[in-house]
Amino acid sequence: MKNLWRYLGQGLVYFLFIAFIGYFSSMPTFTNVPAGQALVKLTFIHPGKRVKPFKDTRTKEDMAKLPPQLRARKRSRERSPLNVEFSIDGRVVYQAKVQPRGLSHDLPSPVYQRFIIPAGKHHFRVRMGDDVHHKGFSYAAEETVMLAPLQTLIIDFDNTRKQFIFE
Amino acid sequence: MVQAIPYRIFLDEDHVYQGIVVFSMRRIERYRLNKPRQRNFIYRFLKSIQRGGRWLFQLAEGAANAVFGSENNPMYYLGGLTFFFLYILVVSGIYIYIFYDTEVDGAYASIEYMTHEQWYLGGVMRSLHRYASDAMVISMILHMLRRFFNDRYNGGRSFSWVTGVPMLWIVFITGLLGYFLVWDQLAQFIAVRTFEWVDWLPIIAEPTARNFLSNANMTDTLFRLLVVTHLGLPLFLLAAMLLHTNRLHQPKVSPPRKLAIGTLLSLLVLSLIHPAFSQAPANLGVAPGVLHFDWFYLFPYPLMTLLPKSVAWAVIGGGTIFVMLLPWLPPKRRDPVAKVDLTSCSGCNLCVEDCPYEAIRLEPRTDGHPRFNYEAQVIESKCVSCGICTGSCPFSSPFRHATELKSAIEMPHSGMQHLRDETSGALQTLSGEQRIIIFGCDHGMHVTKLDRTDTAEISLECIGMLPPSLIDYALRQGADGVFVTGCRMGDCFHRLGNQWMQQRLNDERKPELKRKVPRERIRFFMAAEADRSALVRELEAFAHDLQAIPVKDQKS
Ligand code: HEM
Ligand code: SF4
Ligand code: SF4
Repeated sequence: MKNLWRYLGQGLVYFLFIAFIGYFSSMPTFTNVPAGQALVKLTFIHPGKRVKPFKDTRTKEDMAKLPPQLRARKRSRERSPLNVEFSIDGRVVYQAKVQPRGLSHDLPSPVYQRFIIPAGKHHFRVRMGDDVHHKGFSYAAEETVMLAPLQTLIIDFDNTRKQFIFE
Repeated sequence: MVQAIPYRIFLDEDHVYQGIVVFSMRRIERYRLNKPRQRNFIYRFLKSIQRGGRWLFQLAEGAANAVFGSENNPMYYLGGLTFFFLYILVVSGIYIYIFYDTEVDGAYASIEYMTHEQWYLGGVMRSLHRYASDAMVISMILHMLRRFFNDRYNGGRSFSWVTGVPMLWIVFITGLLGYFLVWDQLAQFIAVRTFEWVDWLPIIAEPTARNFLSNANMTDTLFRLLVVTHLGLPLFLLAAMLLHTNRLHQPKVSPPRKLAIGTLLSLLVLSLIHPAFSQAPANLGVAPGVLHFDWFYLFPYPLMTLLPKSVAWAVIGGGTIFVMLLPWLPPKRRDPVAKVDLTSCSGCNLCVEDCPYEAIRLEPRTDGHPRFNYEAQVIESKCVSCGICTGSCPFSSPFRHATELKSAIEMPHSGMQHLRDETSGALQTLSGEQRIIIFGCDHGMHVTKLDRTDTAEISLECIGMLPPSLIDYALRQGADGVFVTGCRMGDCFHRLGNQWMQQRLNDERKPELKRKVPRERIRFFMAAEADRSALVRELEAFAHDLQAIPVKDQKS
């Protein structure tokens, strides 16, 4: 009799164990993007212009005399931060000065922003300036896109053609 | 060393309280040394959490003892169960890998095939793989909490604690990669979210999450790299697990057979009645909407979504460092470590076999002893001062005639001389019909809090520290009975002490209790703080049983 109770008790423990695992391994659900919404990602990597223009006073002859490892151009490699502005339906949703990465600020600046907005027709405008010496934006693009629910729109910058792309 | 002060409090005719207060200098000394720690704010905060947690665990463990018995209590094998789940994961993992396609375009379909076409084996293996990894998180977290609540994570155990923390990370990363391999919407969510989060780190020059912008961006190379990581990390985990238990003697690296069978069967049942399924296939052009979530692995993700990335990093990264440093918050004052006395040690190896922390080794003699070739040496960094070696050494005898009683290995702050004085001092305080000496330990039910006049309590660092000859001594000095208690069986604070003690009393382990010592005058009953009333009942039953023993055989 005592053994029977013990086995029942063990059964109960094992049952609770698998019920706990069985439930929490898939429930409750998590809503990443709510129904009827769409996702917009503004993301690109772009190197800003050099802060100090390159000036090398060494002549070709000087260079030839130097050992190869010293021929590299000596200059400040620092790049300008990017000036980025993004608006949806005329309202600015993101505006930032994106610093270049790297210890001496010599690498491109990365932008990665996500926005969840209702599905439907929207007007996007993105502008970017990449030179500290010039106020204002060097690149800009606008587009009206019809977004289906849960659709992901990527706004990227093509560094070879120097223009924004919507895909 | 021991002070016994009788007291008598007279309230009125019916209420006279009397008794004897026994002071042990060891306790007073320890109290004095720990005083500054006890004023520390962090220390007090952690202690109060520990008390609450310990209470909950003892309740659950007591219930589990009632149904499983202490030898199969899952709560006593949480580390071993974690190992066991890894074994299940390796076996089921190898099976599902045979059918798994390691290309972006084929992965999802290959898992669908296993789940639906080959549900009776492939599907079961897949479910088993998922549920065993969930079970592993449960057992690992409980194992860790239990070490913390029971204060078994500092001092000599800091090594196990510190090596445990990276294993948490390995387990979680491996699990997340496992979900990635399915390449369904959940995988997509995990990949994008994780890399977005990692990209916050300033050392990342190019956002890694950009690899997951569109289906065209996803390459087989990247996919395979993540697959290989999922297969490789468990190897690291296994190595880390071996390192983790390296400093322990006889670590429980697998559960007892019955428990293993029960756990495996229940996971199998779950796999059959509630198989694991994939969600819709991944499509980077569409954002995952509502997801079925495995909360065991994914609980940080809602947090990472809600909080700014910097805060999420601070919580997760800072939390890891905090947990890692716990053993030193604040540093534990260590008792002096065991000392070997070469004039007595014969190199018999008993203490080496008994030390639960592998802190003693047998080395060639350094003193040129004419007869003995070996001697015991204590590795100070590993010794936690549990005193179990004193209980193991055949030279720990209170009957030796030396000016200063000394064993071949003992604790400087609590040597044989001290143990004998404490025992005879305690005996002097006893009056009444049945005079019982209780040997207990500092980590089980606190016997010094019993407040009884018919018993005298001596608490040791571990009950494994008690040399059986001291029981003999107590009986010869006039005790009617000796009651031996300590942590619950299977759950010794010092891992193996109560088990060794039980075996010594049962003539299964050296040094044994002398044959002619009357066994009916000894009671062995292990109890945790939560078992106070059971212990008192057992004590009363013991006193009652002692009365029934006819005449006490007179000893010198
Ligand atoms: C993969 C996960 C883990 C496995 C498989 C594992 C396994 C084990 C095993 C088998 C033992 C020996 C228990 C015994 O025989 O008394 C042990 C001890 C220990 N573990 Fe773990 N463990 C894991 C994770 C952790 C974590 C995350 C922590 C804490 C951060 C931790 C802290 C400890 C401590 C402090 C001990 C020493 C306990 C003692 O001496 O009583 N472990 N572990
Ligand atoms: S006191 Fe003895 S048994 Fe305990 S850890 Fe130290 S050497 Fe090992
Ligand atoms: S048990 Fe005692 S005699 Fe034997 S090796 Fe250890 S210290 Fe030496």
